Amino acid sequence: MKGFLEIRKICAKTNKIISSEIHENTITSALRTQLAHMLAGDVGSSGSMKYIDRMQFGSGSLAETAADQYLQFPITPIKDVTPSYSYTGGYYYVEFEAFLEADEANGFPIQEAGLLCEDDTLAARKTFNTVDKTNEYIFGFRWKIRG
Amino acid sequence: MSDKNKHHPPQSPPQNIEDHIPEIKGKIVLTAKNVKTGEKKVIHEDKNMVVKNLRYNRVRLLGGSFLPVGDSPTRYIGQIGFGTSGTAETEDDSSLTGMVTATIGTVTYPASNSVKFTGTLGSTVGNGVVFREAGLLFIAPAPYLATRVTFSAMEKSSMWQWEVSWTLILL
Repeated sequence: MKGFLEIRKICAKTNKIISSEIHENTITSALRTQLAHMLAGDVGSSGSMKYIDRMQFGSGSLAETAADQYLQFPITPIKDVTPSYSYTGGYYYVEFEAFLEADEANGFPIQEAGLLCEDDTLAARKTFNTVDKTNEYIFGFRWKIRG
Repeated sequence: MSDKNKHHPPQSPPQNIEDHIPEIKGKIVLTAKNVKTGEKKVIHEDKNMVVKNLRYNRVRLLGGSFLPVGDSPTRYIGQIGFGTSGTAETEDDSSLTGMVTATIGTVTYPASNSVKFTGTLGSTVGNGVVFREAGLLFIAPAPYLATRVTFSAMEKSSMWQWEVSWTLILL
């Protein structure tokens, strides 16, 4: 299973993209476990379900591994995400997108992001070059997981 | 709620991020059991073909779409099918021919990244039919096929029940 995180730096005044980069992420072992159960109909119970519903950010730089259970140094806000689906190049994808707005997470050196399941399981994680968040910029995070 | 709708900057150009690494593997063990003597023999053991429909449903499970039909989760593998077509498997396969189904009896998790389905085609079912294919099936939505395997023609008789063990490994 593979996933890809696109990070876009956007000018808060003009809403234009200044830069964009794509990283291949690490899917955690825990997400594979979640999927094995969901394929068999065990989707979890209310308030503790196994699907992806949030994106989290952090200032940790420790390289990601499949065994990761948390972000190294998580910050707020945590963003709710809703899925969209696509079919490209013979593959199915689910995509989640979130934005850190101009007035959010300022002053933090953001170096990691993760997808969280509704039961708080870390589904995927990616570290990247430091993003120094200020109120001049919005950062868009677009995460695609391939089926 | 998400703030995703507040901004709609242009999308970046598509990136070439494709490869063809298999990301789900499956294996079937089909055993015939003599209903009188209890004798068992493995009649087919092989890797399977994971069809595109499984990948389609997998991304929807990740997104929490469990309810394609009705008010309770139905997007899961809940049956094993047998059919009569010996046409070689492809990832575009979506059904079995002349299908007879067996309900999945047990689900276990041999490893953290795998799930094993077992089921039985009983001694009173499918007799006289020459089977050449089998597959794991979603409960919903149609098309239901998740995996498929073909094998040498075997006629089912009331002397035997067929026991299936089918394991999927998520890589």
